[in-house]
Amino acid sequence: MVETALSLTGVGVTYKGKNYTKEALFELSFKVERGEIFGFLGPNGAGKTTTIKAILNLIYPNTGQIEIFGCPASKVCARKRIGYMPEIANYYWYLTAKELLLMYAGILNIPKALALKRIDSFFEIVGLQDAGNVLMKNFSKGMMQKVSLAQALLNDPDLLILDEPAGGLDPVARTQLRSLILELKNKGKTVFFSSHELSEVELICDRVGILKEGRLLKTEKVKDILNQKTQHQSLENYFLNIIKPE
Amino acid sequence: MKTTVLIATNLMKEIFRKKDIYVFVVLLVILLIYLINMNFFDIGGLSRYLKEIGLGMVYLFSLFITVPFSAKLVGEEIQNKTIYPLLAKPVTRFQFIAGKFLGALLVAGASFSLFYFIFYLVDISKGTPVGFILYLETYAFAILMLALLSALTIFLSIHMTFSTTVTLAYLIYFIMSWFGASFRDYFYNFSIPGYIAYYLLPHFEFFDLRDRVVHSWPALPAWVVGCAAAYALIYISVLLYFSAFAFKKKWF
Repeated sequence: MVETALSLTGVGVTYKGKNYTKEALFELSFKVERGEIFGFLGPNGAGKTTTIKAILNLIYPNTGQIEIFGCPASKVCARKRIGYMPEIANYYWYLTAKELLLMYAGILNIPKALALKRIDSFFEIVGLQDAGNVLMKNFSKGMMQKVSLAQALLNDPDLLILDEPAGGLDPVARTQLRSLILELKNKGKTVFFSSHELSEVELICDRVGILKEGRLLKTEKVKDILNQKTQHQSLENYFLNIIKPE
Repeated sequence: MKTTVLIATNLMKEIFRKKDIYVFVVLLVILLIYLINMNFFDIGGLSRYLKEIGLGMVYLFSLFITVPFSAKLVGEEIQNKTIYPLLAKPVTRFQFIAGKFLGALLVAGASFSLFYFIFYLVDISKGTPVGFILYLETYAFAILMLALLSALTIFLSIHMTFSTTVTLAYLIYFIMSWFGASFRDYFYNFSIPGYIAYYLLPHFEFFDLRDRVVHSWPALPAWVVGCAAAYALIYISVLLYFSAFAFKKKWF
């Protein structure tokens, strides 16, 4: 039986302010199996980032349950096996990239020697080997994004959560990111990512979930969608067809 | 504990690399020049008077460092969105608050230690030195006071904006430092509820031993030191607990 990496059951999130209430997610339920690459799609404001924040326990669902490898998302154990790359990569400007990653490695209980080995090898892959000891205030957006990816991979996570990972990356880095995600899949890792880049999603995802106004409209295997090409032509057409107004 | 220490030490590293800290180095140089010259025209009690001002400056500079730094720690982390990858790691919200508090305390403590050490050197070489135990007690009490002030400021910063937090923290500090002792007679009229209410206030004045140094009074007995330390530690723990409790409810 395939292990479930991520499970959401009836998750509802309501933002409550002094003068407003906004229901962001309604009864969201889906599962991501171990070893799967799951693309989480939806127009702006659909609730993709809210879902990711709920998975990471940054916000608390009003209803439902979230489990990561069987551990409730609210528990620390859930965050031991995940790596997260946020949409906006911003880190401590007055630390060097290496210092930042070593701090995270310490939090993740990774021995310093192993952490340094992983950091150096990652920097070499993405071409940051000369930037490890540079303060991050001098980093470009793309460099920051690479550090962001490095911190997400530092603990060799079983579940990698990426929020719009391709934003800010040049075409070479995008290709590297794609190869990296596929390599992780080959190692049996699970990848959950939200994206607007449908061509990217089409290339690497096993399955997609389409969210609109906080409701999950569809989850389907990319292979099956592409087999219906005669009807939809591409993932983009399929997506537009699903989210079009009633 | 390891997580808390990591957050704190990296915070300290970051703060010392920011240019803001140079302002305090300039203030330190001013203090140094002032203290070196303070015994120049010693007439009667002038030395004591200048000693009071010198020590006052040491406290004031430390206050200027502690309050704004503590006030911006949590807000800055949220505003810069650096909190997302951090809280996505196995870090509890209490560890986050404790790490920020420890970092603020390390910065405030290091700055105060430097200022106070210079004051001490000048005082033993040019002033009318007091017993070493009293110097130590004054130092330890000041660190406890800064810790209490930092914890209070972090607690306020969870609920308020930066400017409101700083204003309120200074207000509470100065009101308690100047009038804290006089509240005693008023509160003690209400028997036990009065005693409780009195000790619920953050008594910064308990930790200010400057008058003892200035007037060369004897050091405090050990039991008083112990009680004051216990009061500070309990107060700080409660403030951090409530800060973490409020922070835990926050959505990011």
